[in-house]
Amino acid sequence: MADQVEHVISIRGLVNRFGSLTVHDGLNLEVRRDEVLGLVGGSGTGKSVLLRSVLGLHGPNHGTIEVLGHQIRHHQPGPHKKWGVLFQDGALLSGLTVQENVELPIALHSDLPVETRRELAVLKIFMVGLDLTAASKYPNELSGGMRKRASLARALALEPKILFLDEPTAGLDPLSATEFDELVRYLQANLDLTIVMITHDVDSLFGICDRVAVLVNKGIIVDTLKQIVKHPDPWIQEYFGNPRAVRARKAAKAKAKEKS
Amino acid sequence: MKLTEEIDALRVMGLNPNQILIIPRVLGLMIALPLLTIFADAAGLLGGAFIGATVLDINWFAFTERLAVTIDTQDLMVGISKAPAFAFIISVTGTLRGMQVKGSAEELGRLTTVAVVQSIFLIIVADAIFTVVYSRIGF
Repeated sequence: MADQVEHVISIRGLVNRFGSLTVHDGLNLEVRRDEVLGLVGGSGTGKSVLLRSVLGLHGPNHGTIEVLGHQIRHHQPGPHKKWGVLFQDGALLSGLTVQENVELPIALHSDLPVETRRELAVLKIFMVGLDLTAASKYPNELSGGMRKRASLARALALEPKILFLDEPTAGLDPLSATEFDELVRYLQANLDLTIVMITHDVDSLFGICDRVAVLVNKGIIVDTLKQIVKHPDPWIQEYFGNPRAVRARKAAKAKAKEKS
Repeated sequence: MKLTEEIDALRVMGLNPNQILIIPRVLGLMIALPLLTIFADAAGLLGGAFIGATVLDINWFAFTERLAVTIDTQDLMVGISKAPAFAFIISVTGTLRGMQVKGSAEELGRLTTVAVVQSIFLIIVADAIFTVVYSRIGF
């Protein structure tokens, strides 16, 4: 089984420099099919730069990035139909309603009739837990949590293979954050999705991630949660040794026991 | 738009932001500004007629009669022909600076000011060029 793991994203020898500052130096990362990969790291370690490189929004100095067999180049067409992205504050188009925002990618990449497109968008909006009143609203009339859900609906509009989440629970109250985590887990299980998620939230890390990638020393350390907490790197030790992380870990363990 | 990652979102969906954000604005202004020029011309003439009638004791009939003699279509065309060029300058400067906004709302304000100042400057330069060219060809 282990040698048959399919990689949906492979990054090789990635180098990102800003002036004299090197953020990534020969970074390699492989993302497996159907996993939830959490991406963590201190501020300035280049989490967002890594994500932007993978999405073709940032041109790295060196290295190759392949997503679903598609070579990623800066500002060149990528596998637009096969990925969905949830940006930090949603990044919904402010001039369009939620419904129109969700319809946009469908209209762009398919020739479905208007009626079907509308119904499909409504389906996605329901799927993320919003209702029809929210669908007809403009992004600035929504709360932060609803905006994220709406943006998630847009990301899922074309039934992507990979979903990128940039701090999905940042700025949400604990209740909404937990709900959002559950939603992500539910969608992952039901839609055959691979998820790459930047997060600072230890609860979502322990709650939904299969593996964790930690950005340290201009490179990356990837392992399962069980293994990575034992890693000797000082930043990792500090991160997972902090009381919040310890609490989250215990809570996740208790929950896992409850289930079995 | 740039601030809230909307432009990134467009790119990720496979849309070219230059195409859908810049071109409509440039074309839109190139249509709207000549119309605005006509409107401003009309308002100017009406204002002149009003002051003439109320303050200078030139009645409406005399005003329109003199107007027809002193002003011809060419005067109107000189103004309107410049408008699309000015519209192009304003919209390109505005959208270009808008695309350069990075990070903070402060930056947005700064670049808005930059765009306004540069537009005004470029319009003065363009107007000077128009004047030279028009006087050369006797337009």
